[in-house]
Amino acid sequence: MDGVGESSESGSGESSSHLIKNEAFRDEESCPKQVSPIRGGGSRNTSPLGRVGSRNTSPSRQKVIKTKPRGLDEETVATFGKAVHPDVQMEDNIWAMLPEDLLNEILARVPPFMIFRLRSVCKRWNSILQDNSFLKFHSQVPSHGPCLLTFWKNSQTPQCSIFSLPLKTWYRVPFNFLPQWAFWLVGSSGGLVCFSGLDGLTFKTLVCNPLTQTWRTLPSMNYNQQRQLIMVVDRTDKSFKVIATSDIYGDKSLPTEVYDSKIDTWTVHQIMPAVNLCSSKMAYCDSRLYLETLSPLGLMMYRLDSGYWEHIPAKFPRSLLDGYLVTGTQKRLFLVGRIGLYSTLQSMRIWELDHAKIMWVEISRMPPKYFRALLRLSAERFECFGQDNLICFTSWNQGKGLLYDVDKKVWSWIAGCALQSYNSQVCFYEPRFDASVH
Amino acid sequence: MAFTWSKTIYMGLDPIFLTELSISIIIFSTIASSKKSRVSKIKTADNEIFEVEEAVATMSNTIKIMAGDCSGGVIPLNNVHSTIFARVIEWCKKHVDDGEDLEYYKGALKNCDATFFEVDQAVLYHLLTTANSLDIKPLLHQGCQRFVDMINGKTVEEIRQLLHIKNDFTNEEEDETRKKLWSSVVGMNSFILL
Repeated sequence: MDGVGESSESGSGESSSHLIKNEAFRDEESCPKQVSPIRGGGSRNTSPLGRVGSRNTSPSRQKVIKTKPRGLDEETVATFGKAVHPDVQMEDNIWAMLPEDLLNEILARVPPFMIFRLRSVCKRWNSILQDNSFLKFHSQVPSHGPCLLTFWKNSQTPQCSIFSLPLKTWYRVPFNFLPQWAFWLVGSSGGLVCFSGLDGLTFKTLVCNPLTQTWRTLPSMNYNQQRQLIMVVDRTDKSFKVIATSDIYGDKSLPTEVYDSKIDTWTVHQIMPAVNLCSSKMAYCDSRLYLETLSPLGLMMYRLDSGYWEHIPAKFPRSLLDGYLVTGTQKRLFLVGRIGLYSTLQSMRIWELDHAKIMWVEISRMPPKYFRALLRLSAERFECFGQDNLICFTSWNQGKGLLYDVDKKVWSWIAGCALQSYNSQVCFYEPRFDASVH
Repeated sequence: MAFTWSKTIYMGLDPIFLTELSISIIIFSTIASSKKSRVSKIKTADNEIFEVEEAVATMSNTIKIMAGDCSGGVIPLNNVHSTIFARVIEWCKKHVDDGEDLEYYKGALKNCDATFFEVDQAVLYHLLTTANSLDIKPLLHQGCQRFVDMINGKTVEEIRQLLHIKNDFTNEEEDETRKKLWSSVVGMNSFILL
């Protein structure tokens, strides 16, 4: 039912699945009012009082049953957990009879990285899995599950590894097509990945789709400065935007520029209202860009439709260190950061912005054992990013990442070779065949 | 509904309260029984009849269309067995209020659904074919995810054996397709549980 599987203290994925199994058994005993297969016709009694009568888990309820009104039928206990009825075929070659359309439905749900392996099964599958109409059908499935993309440069050679969360496997992806100047991973959205870098003295940006190995350098900005960037894809519109906000070094006041792929140009918008220091912490949520300012500590919002910045008067938690802004699903915005100046009293907490009341509401706290494992020293740096109600923490000094599922309230570790490189940049990535760089 | 009240219950309660209580119970049961009235009758291949609430039954587009044709009569499903149909209706009852919730599409199944799909391959096969023939998209989606979990981690040869597919590549062609751009770096489960 509820509660048990959602405990954040339970932590590991294995133990929580055991808890789920136990919960299912308890479900059966305490609430036998489920569907039962009808034998030999007859109608099912779904009266509310019938439900009361069949629940008898505790001795105190025995009295109620004794005074149960007469004239009600007993309900048959569910057969949900019992063995399969012998009428169901149990042949060995059952999957050989899979109909064609069902095979297509199944293949459409296969995450992209597994599709490549399945091409080796037989010639028919090889042709199906490369067929354009199949790939279109595959892309229409809303989501195959998120991946983590890690990028680092190994003496000028770009290296990229992608961890697929649904498949729980690392894949090495060739990035030889990337020009030499591409150095910083800006981020990923809707299947596209954005890079930036300095080509001589010019600050350039590039978008690519690692799955189809296509890429394109974007035109230069109006103001040639290293900027904080964020990319967002609009899948319904089949377009993407790149927003350039503050100067990286924070000493120049530049107008915000927005690149729109539909018109293939950068347009200049408002200069951000005077703040002394802007952080690099940004999150795009519901066609609004939120940016955290450091001095003073606050929240600025940029509306894409109007092109103006405004200040959001949400009070930040006191003694907050390293606040990160993370987007969730359906207009949810999270703030993740450490509280507490002294190492023994520090804790990592997650707040959610209440848009109506304009305040940060604490929704979760990292359990101490995870916090200690992630950051051995209080001064250690970490990165935090997320999408779709998943928040990932990576420690700069250790090669592991911690994943938090906001909906299920479950913490789990991710380890892998790619995260161990000290200068690797990580972001969430959603592999898509249909993400176009144009 | 007729009740016989045990004397131990109403001893000590005044008559006015008792009347109000009985009236509200009658109203409640009338409402409950009127909600029960929109029921679809469905007959499976082995001649078992199921009475299912219309909202639950019409999660299947096939049943929805057939209900329109049959207009109140018994809907025959000639290729669905009662055991599997019972499971499918079980699932539909849990998800009738989900509406356009895209939770399914996030990849991981909800807790209650994870146990639903912990079945052997024969049952999974029948759940998938039934969800496909009855056109219940969310159930089909979840069942396919389960199938993908099943083949994840299997080698290409194991997948061929499972689905009884003959390998029609020549050795050279097979080497070529395997020497692709993509390869697994680490094929093991990378979740370390601490």
